[in-house]
Amino acid sequence: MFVGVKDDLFNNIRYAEQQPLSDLDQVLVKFCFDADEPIGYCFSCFFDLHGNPSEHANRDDICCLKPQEWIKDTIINLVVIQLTNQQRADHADQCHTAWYLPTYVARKRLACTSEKQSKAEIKNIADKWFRPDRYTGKLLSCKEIYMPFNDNESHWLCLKVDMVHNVVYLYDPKPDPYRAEERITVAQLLVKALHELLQRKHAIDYQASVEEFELMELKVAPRQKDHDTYFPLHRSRYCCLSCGACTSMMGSSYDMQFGDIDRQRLVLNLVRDLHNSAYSSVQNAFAEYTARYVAPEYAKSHLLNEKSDVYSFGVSVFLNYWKGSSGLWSPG
Amino acid sequence: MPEPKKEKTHVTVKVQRQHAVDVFIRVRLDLPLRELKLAYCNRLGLDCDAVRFTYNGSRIHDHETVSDLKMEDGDVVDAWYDVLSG
Repeated sequence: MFVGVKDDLFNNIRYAEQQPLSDLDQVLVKFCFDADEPIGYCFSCFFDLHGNPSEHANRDDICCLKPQEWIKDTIINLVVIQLTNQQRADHADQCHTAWYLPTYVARKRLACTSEKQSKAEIKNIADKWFRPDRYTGKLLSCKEIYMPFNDNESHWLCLKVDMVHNVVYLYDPKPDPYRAEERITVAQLLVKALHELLQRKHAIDYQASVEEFELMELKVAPRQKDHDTYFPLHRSRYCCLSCGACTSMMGSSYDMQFGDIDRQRLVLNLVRDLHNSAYSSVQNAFAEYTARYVAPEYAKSHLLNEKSDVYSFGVSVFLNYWKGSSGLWSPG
Repeated sequence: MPEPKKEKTHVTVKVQRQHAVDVFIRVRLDLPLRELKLAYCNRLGLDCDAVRFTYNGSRIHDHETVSDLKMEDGDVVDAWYDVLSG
């Protein structure tokens, strides 16, 4: 029945251009990751969803995109908002074709322990996140729903519900034989929850029953690098961008393995997003940051000569001695 | 003579968190919600920077107040701890 259905989740992914980041970009990334800078509000991303600020990340959150760090759910939610905004821009009138749900939805549902509690929670979730002014739109135009979720607080996975071909895909960037069954059970639970949510919110338009869709695992999909095969929990720490969710949803640069450079691109992408209402303050802080390295006469007159290079070199040598860390950016 | 009706100055909101007891907190209408976050975290001994608060699905910012968000008595604020995963 599903012969014609290709695992099309990754079809529309642009492969990463292998060019390195420009010098300015690299400095900006370094600035974002610089733990010596005061954490918090001098650097933050405030993301607006349909004009309302709805999620923000400070430097602490962004720092989890450093190489080989685990990903925080904040980052995934920022990407979700980015994608939802993109969808809104492409499709007017709430007719966007892809719905991206924040991690909160799955988390709320998975926290329920009893049938009764889950009923109350479903109502809650529907009111909070399934609104046209939030993450969803008209069901008739909806072709796919993405739902990132977490397994055992150690691994990000993503469900993709294909409303056209009536299939549910489970994307697991790092399959683990010890937890495979459990992950499927969780996925089934979430599919059921989605069914109830749609029933509740879109009773009139909701024809096909998501609950009866076949659940398939994506076989051909990017996988996380295998650094350590010894201890599953530890192993899953490496590489990965988050949440197969995030990567697959990003549709932006994606190598078969989500490398450090892709993480850096993601940082730039998030910081420079149109809907980041804190971008101007980040720019100001960044200008101040770079100003420490340039010669004073350049700041005054905007004229460069070889002497200004010597000045910048002097600053970095000084920083090296003074702080013990190189002022120069070296990736990784 | 009936007393003039008192103007409402506080609301009581419920803070919910996964695997934790619900906490009721009374907040003044014009107090920045940073205070609510601190009160909650102090009471439960949590690190305030590691807990996020959402109301109606959006993050609560430190400088917003109860009247900005039009909260009412008995409204639920969700608290989330950060999830780090590979």
